[in-house]
Amino acid sequence: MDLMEAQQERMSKEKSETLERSDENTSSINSQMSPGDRIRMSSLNVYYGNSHVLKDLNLTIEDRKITVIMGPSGCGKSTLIRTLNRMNDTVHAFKLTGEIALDGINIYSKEVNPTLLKLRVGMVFQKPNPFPISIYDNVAFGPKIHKLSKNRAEMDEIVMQALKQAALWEEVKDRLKANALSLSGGQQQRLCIARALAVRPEILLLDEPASALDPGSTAKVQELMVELKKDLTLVLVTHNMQQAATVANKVAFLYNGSLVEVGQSPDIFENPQKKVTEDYISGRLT
Amino acid sequence: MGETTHSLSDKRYRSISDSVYKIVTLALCSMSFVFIIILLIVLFHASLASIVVNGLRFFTTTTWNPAINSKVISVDGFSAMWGANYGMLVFFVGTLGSSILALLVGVPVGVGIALFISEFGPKRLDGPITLLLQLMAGIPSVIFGFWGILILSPWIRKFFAPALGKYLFFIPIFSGQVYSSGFLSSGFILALMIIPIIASISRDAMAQTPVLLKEGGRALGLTDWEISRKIVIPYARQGIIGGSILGLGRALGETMAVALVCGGADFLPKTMFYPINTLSAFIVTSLDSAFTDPSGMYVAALGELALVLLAITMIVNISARLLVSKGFLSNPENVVQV
Amino acid sequence: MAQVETPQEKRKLVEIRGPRNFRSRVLTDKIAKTACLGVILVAFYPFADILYLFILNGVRSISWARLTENTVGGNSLGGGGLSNALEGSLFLIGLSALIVVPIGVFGGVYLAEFSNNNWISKVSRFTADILAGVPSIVLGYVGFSLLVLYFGWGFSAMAAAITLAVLMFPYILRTTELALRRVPESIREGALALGSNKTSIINRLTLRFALPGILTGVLLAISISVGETAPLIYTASFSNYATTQLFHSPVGYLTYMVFVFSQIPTSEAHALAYLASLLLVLIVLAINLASRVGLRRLTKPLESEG
Repeated sequence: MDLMEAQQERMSKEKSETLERSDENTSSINSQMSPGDRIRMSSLNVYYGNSHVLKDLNLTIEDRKITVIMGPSGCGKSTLIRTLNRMNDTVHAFKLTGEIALDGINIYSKEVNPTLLKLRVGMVFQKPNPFPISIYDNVAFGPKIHKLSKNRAEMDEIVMQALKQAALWEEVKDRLKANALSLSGGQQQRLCIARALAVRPEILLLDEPASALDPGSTAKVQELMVELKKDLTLVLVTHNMQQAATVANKVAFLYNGSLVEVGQSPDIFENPQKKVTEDYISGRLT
Repeated sequence: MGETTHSLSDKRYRSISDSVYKIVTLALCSMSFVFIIILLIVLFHASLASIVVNGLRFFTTTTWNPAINSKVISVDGFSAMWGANYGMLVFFVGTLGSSILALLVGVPVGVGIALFISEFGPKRLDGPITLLLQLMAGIPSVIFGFWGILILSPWIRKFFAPALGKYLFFIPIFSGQVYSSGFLSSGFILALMIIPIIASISRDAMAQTPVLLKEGGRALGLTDWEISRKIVIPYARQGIIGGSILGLGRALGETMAVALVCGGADFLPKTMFYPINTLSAFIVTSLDSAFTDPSGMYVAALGELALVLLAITMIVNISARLLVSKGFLSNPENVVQV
Repeated sequence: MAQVETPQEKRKLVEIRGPRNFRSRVLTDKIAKTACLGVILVAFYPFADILYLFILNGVRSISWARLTENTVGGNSLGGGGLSNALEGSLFLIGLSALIVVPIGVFGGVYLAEFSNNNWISKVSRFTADILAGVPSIVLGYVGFSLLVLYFGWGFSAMAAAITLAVLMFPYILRTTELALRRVPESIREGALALGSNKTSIINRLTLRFALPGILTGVLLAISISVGETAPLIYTASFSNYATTQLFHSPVGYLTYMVFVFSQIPTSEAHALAYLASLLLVLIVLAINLASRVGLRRLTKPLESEG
């Protein structure tokens, strides 16, 4: 934790050189931000060509909470989470209207660099996608590119810290030079989490991170998420009800591209307000 | 004959026709093997006189002197001209040198085009650029050569070579007399001819990079170029190398374009501005003079040149083929570089 | 890491955090992308220039006499027309296609329909790839040594056509295999269920279905051989007169006109070389465009019917 804060501070000093453009951006600051919100989506619409994938979404993501987006497959949850760090930019015929504000800045505004955005908003994917290089190099990949360390010792520290945060350190500390592909699926996914954590994001997006894992690994990833929310803001996409119920602070239920219901965690499961939500939770809708 | 169409004997007839068909097509299919064998036998037979008489001197000397005006003598049972010497070193050096220069220019350009198609450029340009590459690959070699005479060689003599000489004069290979045709024009024209091969094979290999890996890189905040350099190029490395070697094979054997722009030298080049000669260009331009040799040794020596050329290109092409098709991308180890 | 409240703290987070090396990385990214666009222009400029140069000068050189008369002179002078070369080119292409198409197509039938990927087919594919990589001048020398000298055919249409046929063979073999493999298995099975034997299935059904793909391969091979010069110099030599004789009679062809007359610095010689270049470029581009479009269809995944 101290290390992380030190890092954070060092980087905020470094950044000062880079994008002191806040004045230009004030225009897009959403005055309705409540203090604890990190991300606010307002009238968000997403299209792929002619198909309307997300319809008029309004949702806020709170600081250091786990926000779970759930819904049946094809409802647009993956699209939603990928728009939060602009992973969809390169998708053919992708179009977005409305606004996604990160700390009051519209991340789709011209001033925001999509590459830098990803430093603040990290992402973990459905299938583990470690690079076919050593475990150490996987975690060090981001920090190396972004030159986050001055020397080897610092890099070792970053790698160790990230692996510890991802609860993988104990399992791999003796074989950091081994190829990442030699890890089990669950370990690979935690390695990907460590890789994402190593560049010190403030927000971590997890797109069904446990869908390809066995129950044991799933439980570990879940524990990890709860642990991580002490330091980070998490957004989780899942179709696993139990997982949602276990980790969520806030739940957004997405159906056919529309936000049907948003609620705090136990409430929405015990007392859903809408019929569709109830159907989904009770398993009548998949 | 077709009376008992549904009898057993008819079935036998059918299976016989199938086996005949199979054997005939098998024979035709193995023609590729047969052709290669014939090729080797004929080449070896035709150049035997030169192999025996010229021996190692063929590979170690630079003088190609058929001595057609001297007298026919008999050496080791073959007739030869007294005082003749056949050394292929000038052509060998020219072939290797121009092909290497072609690779030095062609690989970065080809890979750049492949990157543009697969990574950087807009999707709607992919088809047109690929088609242009294919059409460019279809332009006859001799037309590239004609263009070389008309445009490329004069440009090199007037602008490019003097500029090189002006700024890089301290490097010995970029100094001295500038000839209009030679090393540079041959290398450049070959580069143009192999760029389509390198680009299209590299592009195919790059297209194999898993989207998941690229997205992993993008989610870590890599720029497009960093994704290409750290993930796509390492992943496609085998294909890029395979395509380059295939391009090398083509450059080594390329004949007409080089014949028109190489300058037809019979001495070793001292600088990049010198005229050169290559195995293929020399063979194609020497048939008439070969007929003037009463001993027949000249024709045999041309055969040995062809044999050497075949050997080099075969080695190159076989290694390219092993790289591109077998074991291609099968080994994920060392695929991504940090 | 307290909750974001004061304006200063808010401002801090408003700035998108960037590491120190970021500007240079973005610059590198831009340079790399520009360089890739640049090399495309560098590579395609000569191609565009070639088209421009030869179409412009070729069209300027068009005249009735040049198109209908025979070549006058040879290595030293250069004049007259190129009708002998045009006819010779077509004659050689037609003859070599006649020889190679049956061999290549039915060889491809074995690879696709009978081989079950056995060792013979592997050797055949491998040697076909090797053959495709043999420099054409080497094929020319072999044709010269075996057909022109040893068989005693002299410089002749037959020697040249067989040499070209060997050059075209691997392309036709492999595209035929590719085309046949794309014929859906259901078609073969349907015919098999009706009691047809393999021979008639292949001849009546499979080959017919694969015909567009096979034609594509044949066209591609033809366009390659249209542009060949080196093997023909060694097997066909050149002739100022059109011929239909198969043996003992040299044949003219367009690429020779370009090769020789481009080196003769008279305007008449250059005009002939330009005109020959124009014809070659047009023929090759037309065939290539047609076959590439076909090939693209061939390699595209087959759409499911219905």
